[in-house]
Parts: sequence; structure tokens; C-alpha cells
Amino acid sequence: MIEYRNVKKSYGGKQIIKGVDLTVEKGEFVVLIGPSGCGKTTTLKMLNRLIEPSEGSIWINGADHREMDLVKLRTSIGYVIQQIGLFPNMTVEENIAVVPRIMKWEKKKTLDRVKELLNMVNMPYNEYGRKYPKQLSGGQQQRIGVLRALAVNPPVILMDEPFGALDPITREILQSEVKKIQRELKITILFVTHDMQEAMKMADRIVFMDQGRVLQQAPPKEMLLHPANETVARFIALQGIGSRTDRITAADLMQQASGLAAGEDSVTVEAEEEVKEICQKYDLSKYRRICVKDSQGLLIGEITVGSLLEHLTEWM
Amino acid sequence: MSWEMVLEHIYMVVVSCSLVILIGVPLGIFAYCRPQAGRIILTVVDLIQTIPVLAVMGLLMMMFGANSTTAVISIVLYLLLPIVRNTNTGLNSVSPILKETADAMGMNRLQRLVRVEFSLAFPFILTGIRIAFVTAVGVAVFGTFVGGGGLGSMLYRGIRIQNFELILKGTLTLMVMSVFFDYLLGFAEKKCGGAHEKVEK
Amino acid sequence: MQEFIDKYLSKLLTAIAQHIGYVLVSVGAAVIIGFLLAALLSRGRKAAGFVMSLIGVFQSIPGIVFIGLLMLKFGMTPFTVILALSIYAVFPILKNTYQGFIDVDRNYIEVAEGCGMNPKQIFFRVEVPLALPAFFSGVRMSCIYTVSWAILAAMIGQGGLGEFIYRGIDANVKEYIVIGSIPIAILAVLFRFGIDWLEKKFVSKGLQSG
Repeated sequence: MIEYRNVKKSYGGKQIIKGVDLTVEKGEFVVLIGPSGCGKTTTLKMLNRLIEPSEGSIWINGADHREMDLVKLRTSIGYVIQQIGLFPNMTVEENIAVVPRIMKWEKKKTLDRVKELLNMVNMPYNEYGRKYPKQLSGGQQQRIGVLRALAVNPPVILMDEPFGALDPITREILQSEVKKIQRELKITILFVTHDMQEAMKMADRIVFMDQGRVLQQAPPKEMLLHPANETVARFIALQGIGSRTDRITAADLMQQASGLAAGEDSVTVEAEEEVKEICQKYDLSKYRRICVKDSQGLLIGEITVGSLLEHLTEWM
Repeated sequence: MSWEMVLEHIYMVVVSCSLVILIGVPLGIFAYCRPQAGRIILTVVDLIQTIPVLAVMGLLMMMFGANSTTAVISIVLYLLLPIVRNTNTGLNSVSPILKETADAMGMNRLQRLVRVEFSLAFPFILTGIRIAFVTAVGVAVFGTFVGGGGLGSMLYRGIRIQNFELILKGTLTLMVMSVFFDYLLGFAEKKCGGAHEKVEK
Repeated sequence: MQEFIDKYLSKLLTAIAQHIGYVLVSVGAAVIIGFLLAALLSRGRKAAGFVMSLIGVFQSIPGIVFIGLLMLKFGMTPFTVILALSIYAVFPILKNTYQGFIDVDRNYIEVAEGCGMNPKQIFFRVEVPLALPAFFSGVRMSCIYTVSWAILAAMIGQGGLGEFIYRGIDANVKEYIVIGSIPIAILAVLFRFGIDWLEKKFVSKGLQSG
């Protein structure tokens, strides 16, 4: 549906994006992640042409996006940024109705849509429609930001660190809401964050960028288990999985059992070995079980790879 | 050009500015300490500045007669706004963390006000004073109408007799005067602002 | 005093009307010119720096002098008064409104672009509403100053409330000065509240404090 073909961007002779190839399928939730300055936001903004690519092209449904009408392009792509995105001079209703107004929807249709959207996030129109952004909490403001992007049912939504300024609990709730809406409406979302935990939770596929290049594209679990290189691995480690699982050993996770036998589908580790090391040492996608032995070499329990992955995602 | 007029002008500026500092700074501090009364004070001071100086001079002349006292009092009233407001803003902009730290170190209310809040607000107050001086130079022109003399008399006469040279001389003197005060106090502000920044680091 | 007022009431009313007329016409002209210039300059920021510093110099010339100079050039006509008052009234409006446009957060403009607004829509739906509070504080200053400057009209024999004041000074009659000063003070305060009211009405509630 969306295809970046060798897209490059330079500012004053300095190349910021050094050739990005990226394909996004319809209904896919793709998260762009990487250290600050890696080019993820630039990559995002090139899609709705807030930034024009210097080289290469972007194709949307088989059409070069530079040849599409700019207003049509942008109204068909929802756009959400950090908290500041709501217009402070407009009410909640007016903010949500920005894009319908540009598209000259009838008043009645717009109003119905605003009410429908507000109900979706449990903010009844009668209570919130006439309020101004400054009268809302940060979480409520950001909900409205998301609703505004959804207003005309665009097939694609771009989100640039939309939850960055929120407290952890509100962020968690909004993440779930957005994920739910995205699944139900089958929207394609491109989402920028620097928070690996968020990426793990939201993404169908994570695109890891560094210094203007894509280093790895993979579903969350795969990226977690098989980081493509040192940079990705270190980023993941720094983001928490490392420190949070530092002390957790195979013995902590294993199911005690007797009469176990190691086999083709298993790898054997020591009880005191840290989970993090195990992940780095073995290619776990090749196995189904991890057998745990004590210091005498006796098998004392096992961990299924499936349950280990679940634990890891949880800890992120 | 008569030096007498220049001196009269400077007299009005310096006396009214000194007075307004003596009255306005304590008023600003009071407004900070008692926020409810403070809101009223700021509104009143703001309204006073709304009224044209010349009208204030006219009214005060009834009470004090046609002399430089009337002129000075009118100018003082007019200049209260920048001084009171800047003092108040400066004090309000002191970080609560610093105030709490001062409390934690055992300062009492007065010590805290003098050593922490006032000294941190000082650059703001200086800005207010600079604005007051520069404004006073312009406003004192009206002093001539109530018998205060000053450069206003020269300008007024120049316009009356349509003497271009007189107008030009008067204007240039005024401009030199306001640039002088602006530069002098701007310099003090910069020195103070520098110290202020160092404190914050 | 009462006698004095009775005697000059009709003259006083004429003077008040003239004074209000001067203020409304010049501030009206200044609002249009100041707003348009500010909108224009906020688009070409290189020119803006130059224009702003030029205004600074201009503004430092006392109004009384400027009127005097204009008078020598254009003669003692109401046009001279309106021209001088309008020029001075433009400064605060232009300065404040320009700053208001400059201070509009880039993010809002980018979001507006991202939503698909064209430059015209961005200007009228986002930039203008956000710059409006600054514009109004400019208009407020302008109005208050102009009430004051309009006194100078009398200096070149063009009426307004200044006439009472000048006559009082020339003839050394205090009553003249007082009956001129009181309406001036009241007018200034009324204009100020008028602008406050307009601001409340036209600036989005989402931008007003409290």
C-alpha cells in the first residue's frame, strides 16, 4: 500500500536520510524507532509531504505521492503529534472537525461524526464538545488529537511520539485504545517513538533506524531475540530489557520436572545462567524447549520458548 | 537653547523617578505579600496610567497650583505601573524550589524576602526603573503646561512661532537624554543580569 | 464652576465629539494598516527586522514634535492631525501584532499543514486567531495613547478637548483646564474598557486567561 523507494533527504549538503526502502501493508501497524536524530521523524513527515524527499519516491496505492493533489493526500492521512497538536483557539468539537471542514462536509454529517468519535473514547459530546484544550487533562487532549486524525476515516494515520508527554498510566491506557481502534477499523499506522516498550506493545512490525538508514525490520519478538547488530541490541538493552532481567536466571522461570530428556528440539542451560545471556547465546527460534541442569549436570526443569517470549515481552 | 530648561527637565525626571522608586517598589513588594490586595493595586495602577498625563496634571493643578510639584506628582502617578508591575512580576518569578530551600535552611520570612526573593527579583526591578526613566523624559515635556518648565516650553514655543530650529534642538536634546538614561540603566541591568545568571547556574 | 460648565456645555460637547472622532478615525486607520503590515512582515522576516528598528527610531520622536513638523509641511488642517495620530497609532498595533504572528508555535502550523489546510486556511483559522490577543493589546495601547495625543490637535487650532486645556494655560484660567481634563480622563478609561470588551468577545475563550 505504501512504498518508500530508496528515499533520501539532504539538508544543506548533509544527508539525513541515506536511502530508505520500506513497504507498509494495508492495516499494518509499523513503528519507526531509533535513537534521536536517526531520521525516523523525517521519514514519517515525508509521507504527507511536510518534508519533501530529495531523492527517491514514495508510492501510495500505486501512485507517486508527489503527483497526488496535496490537500487530497493530506486529508487522506491522519496526523497526530505530541500534546501541542490541538489548536488552543478551537473547542474540542472544532478541533475534531478541522479535516471535515476542509473537505466541506455538511454540518449535520460532521456533528454526527464528532459525536460518534467522542463516544468511542467515552468523552460524551454534551460534556466535552464545547470545552477548550486547556480545560482538558493531558490524556484527554491526546485522545482528541487521535480523534481528529480519525475524523474522515483516513486509511493511513501518522503518529509522531503521540504519547511522549503523558504519564505512564495514561500512556498505557491510550496505547491500548489506539491499538484497539486500529485493529477494529483496519487502519494503517506509521508510528514514531524512541520507547522500545511502546514499540513492542503496539507494532506489527518494528523498523529500527539509525543515522538515516534502516538497520532492521522485524516483528517485535523477532527483533527482541535476534537483534540484527550491536546497535540494535544495545538500544534494546539500554531501554530496559537488559537491566530488568539482569538478575533473572533460568532457575527462576523453569517448571520443575523430573524424567526430562534433552532432544533435537531443546537446548540445555545451567540453572544459574541469566535469561539475557541465554537469549544472546542461542538462536531460540530453532528450539521449542530450554532444559535446565543443576551444577551436577542433572536436568531439573524446563522452560518452553513460548513462555520465555511472553515473559520477555511483559518485562519490556 | 537655555541650560535652565535642560536642568528643569532633568530635575523633573530625576525627582519623579526617585519618588516613584521609593513608593512603587514597596508597593510591589506589598502586592506580592498580599496577593488579594495586590490584584487591586495592580488594577488601580494600570488604570491610572490609562489617563493621559496632561489630564492628570490639569486635575492636580487644582490642588497643588501651577508649579513643578504638580508636574512631578503627575509623572510619579503615571510611572507607578512599570515599577509596581515589574517588582511584582520579578518576585513572583522566583522559583518555589529556591524559596523552599531558603525555608529549609531556617530563614525567617523577612530574611527570605530580603536575601532570596528580592535579590533575585532585582534585575526585573531594574528593567522597570529603566522604563520609568525613559518614559519620564518624554512625559516631562508636558510639565511646561502646568508651570513645570523643562524642554517642553522650548518645543511648545517652537511650534507656536513655527520655528523649525527650536523644535529640532528641543527634540535632539530629548533624544540624547532618553538614550543616555536608557544606556546607563541598561548597562546596570546587564551587569546585574550577568550576576543573576551566575546565581542560577 | 457650575456656571462655567453651563456656559461652555455646548462647546464642551462639540470638543468631546471631535476628540472621539479623532481617536476613532486614526485608530481605525491604524488598525487596518498595522494589521496588514504585521501580517505581511511576519512572512518576510528579513524585511521585518529593518522595519522594526526604523519604527523604534520614529517612535522616539515625541508626538508633539512630529505634529509640529507635519504642521509646517501640511499646514494647520484636520488632515495634519489625523495623519500624525494615525502614524503614531500604527506603531503599537504593528509591533504587537507582528510579535503575535511570530510567536505562533511552528507546531500548530505544521499540524495545520498535516491536516491538509492551504496557506489561506492556515492564516485565517490558525495564525490570526492565535495572534489576536497580541493584536488587541496593541490596539488598547494605541487607543489610550491616541486619546492623549489628540490633545495636541488644539495646539494647531483643530479643536478637541485639548482646546480647553490650551486656553486654560494661555489665559491662566484653571477652570478651563479642569473641564477639559475630566472628560479626557473619562474617555481614556472608557476606550480602554471598550477594547477589553471587544477582546473578550473576539478572542477565543481557549486563549483567554482564567
